[in-house]
Amino acid sequence: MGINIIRLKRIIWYLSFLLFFSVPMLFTGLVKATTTSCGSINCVTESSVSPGGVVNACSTNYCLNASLGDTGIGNSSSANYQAYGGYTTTADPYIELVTPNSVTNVGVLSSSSTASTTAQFSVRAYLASGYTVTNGSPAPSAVSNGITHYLTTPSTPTASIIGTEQFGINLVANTSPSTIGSNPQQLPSSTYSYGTAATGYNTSNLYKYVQGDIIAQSASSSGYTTYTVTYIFNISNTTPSGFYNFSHTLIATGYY
Amino acid sequence: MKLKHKIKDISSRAKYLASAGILSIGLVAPLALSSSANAATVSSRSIQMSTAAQGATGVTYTVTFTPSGTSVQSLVLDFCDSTSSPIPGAACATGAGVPDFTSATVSSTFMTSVTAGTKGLGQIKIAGTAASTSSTAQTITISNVTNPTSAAQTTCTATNGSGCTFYGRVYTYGNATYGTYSSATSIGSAVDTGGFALATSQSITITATVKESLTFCASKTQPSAGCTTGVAAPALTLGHGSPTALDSTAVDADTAYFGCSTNANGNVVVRIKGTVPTSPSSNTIPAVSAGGSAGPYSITAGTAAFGLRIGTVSGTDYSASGVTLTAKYNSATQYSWDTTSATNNTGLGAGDQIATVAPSSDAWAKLNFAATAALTTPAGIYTASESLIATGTF
Repeated sequence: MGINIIRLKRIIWYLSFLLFFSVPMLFTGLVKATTTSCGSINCVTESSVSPGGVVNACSTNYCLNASLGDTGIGNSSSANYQAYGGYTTTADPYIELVTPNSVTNVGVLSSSSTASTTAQFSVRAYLASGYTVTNGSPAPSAVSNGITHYLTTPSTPTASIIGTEQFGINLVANTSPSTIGSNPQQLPSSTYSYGTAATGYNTSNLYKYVQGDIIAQSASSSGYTTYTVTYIFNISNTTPSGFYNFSHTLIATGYY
Repeated sequence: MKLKHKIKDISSRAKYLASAGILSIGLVAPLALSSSANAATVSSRSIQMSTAAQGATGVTYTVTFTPSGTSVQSLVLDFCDSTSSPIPGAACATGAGVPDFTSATVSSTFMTSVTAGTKGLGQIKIAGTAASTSSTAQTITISNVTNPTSAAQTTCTATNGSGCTFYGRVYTYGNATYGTYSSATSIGSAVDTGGFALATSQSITITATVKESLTFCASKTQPSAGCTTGVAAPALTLGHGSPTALDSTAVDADTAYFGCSTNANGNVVVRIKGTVPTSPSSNTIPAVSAGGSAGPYSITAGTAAFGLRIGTVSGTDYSASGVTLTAKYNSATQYSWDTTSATNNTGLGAGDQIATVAPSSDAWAKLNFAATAALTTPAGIYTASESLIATGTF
């Protein structure tokens, strides 16, 4: 009986000792990130890497993402919760919008044919309730005779009509006016990424454009979704002449 | 023996006290390390930019969130660059990679009479004259913000085409002086806190060209849109009887058309220029009313005169859209042939304006030429050659 009491006292002593040193480490481990600069690329490194953590090892021009002790990669979710594992996820709320740094000239427009082109952008968002991507720009415009003219844009999904002034977009694969565009691509797969084209911009061969419209979205956190935007231009005989410019600004908003 | 037991009891109690002390310190120490742990988190929060273009000015940031309760009278919005995090109170780097609120204005019904306090690069403080009374979703509109520039967001533009993430943090306070907030890493006792992630991006630029276009024709018959069909040589004959001749008993007329298709948003001016009917021996049938410029004038049979008019019925005399007639030619019965004003129908001038045409794919007008001879008009074959001139302003 006396021996058991002594053992119990020792156990309490050891537990107290262990608790004293371990609990603060558990808390501080969450906030011990430091920032370093790696040549022309800045990256974030952790001062220490615990299982499941992230480290970026950098040389002058390259950074390497690595992880330690991950037990799984990907998404798990229930009706109300969603969780991510793996080295490509981030620990903080995060949203990224990647657009190409490109200028496309579709050439001289004609009232007897449709001009079209495509561009891509990618979005990912973590620890979010989802995201939306919105059209931030007015329609293509040109100044002619001192008057700014904006191309007419269908406010409802509309087929391409040659000879009718019309500028529209969609985010899916089309066969008219030509085989152009593609459906949203989930990277690395639909297991990890969930972005979709929004209503009004998700029907093949139908185009619309409204400034302020949501054109893409995800209802939850998502890995990269790459969207292909198809742009169509039709003009009439009365479309004012000029050099039409369209700077398509996309606004990605994360909801947390 | 008893003394030995007492010494043992004192030793045991000391161990118990030491254990309890260490245990207490172990439990309290983590709490001391975690600052601002008592603030609630605003939910359903987002910040929407009116444009995500890097370096854009005049941008509107719409901040939406649901506070945990009421009685908020001020708040601070901090923005940190992509090397930082959205975690309230954590390290926050600004530099130039964050939005600039220096010229920003704010509006909201969240608090009474909201005004902006301190504002600058990466930060804006907002306060009201009275505390909030609602815990439902709130919106704060911040206008005239300058987005971070691409040059400043070097961490993102190093990767071709990459957008750039930066972070926002909101802290709310129960008084109008931002509680005990002193910096992004020392936020004091906030009522609510919350973090946001935002992203700027480069814009997708597409250019296209529309050429200036003007199609114009003169025809004996009404031409189709764009003068593609229905065009016949506009050879007119004025006269009656057989063989066809002018005399003093009637005013004889014939018609022709012009057709016009254009995208000239400064309109097309249609002018006419030429001669009055002239015989090989240089005798003429004079312009109506001696070529006056204040027409239209009547042509009376037997008084030699030549003139032009365009009727007044839209859809019959000229196209229902696109054409605006010059008053002196716009008559159902009377005519003009201006030889006196500066831009008259003859000479070296540009001709006299008979109509303007707005951008249209199918504008047209029916031109009625008429003449009569006097009893003294010399015999002969009289010929007039008229040119229609269309000038577009683009």
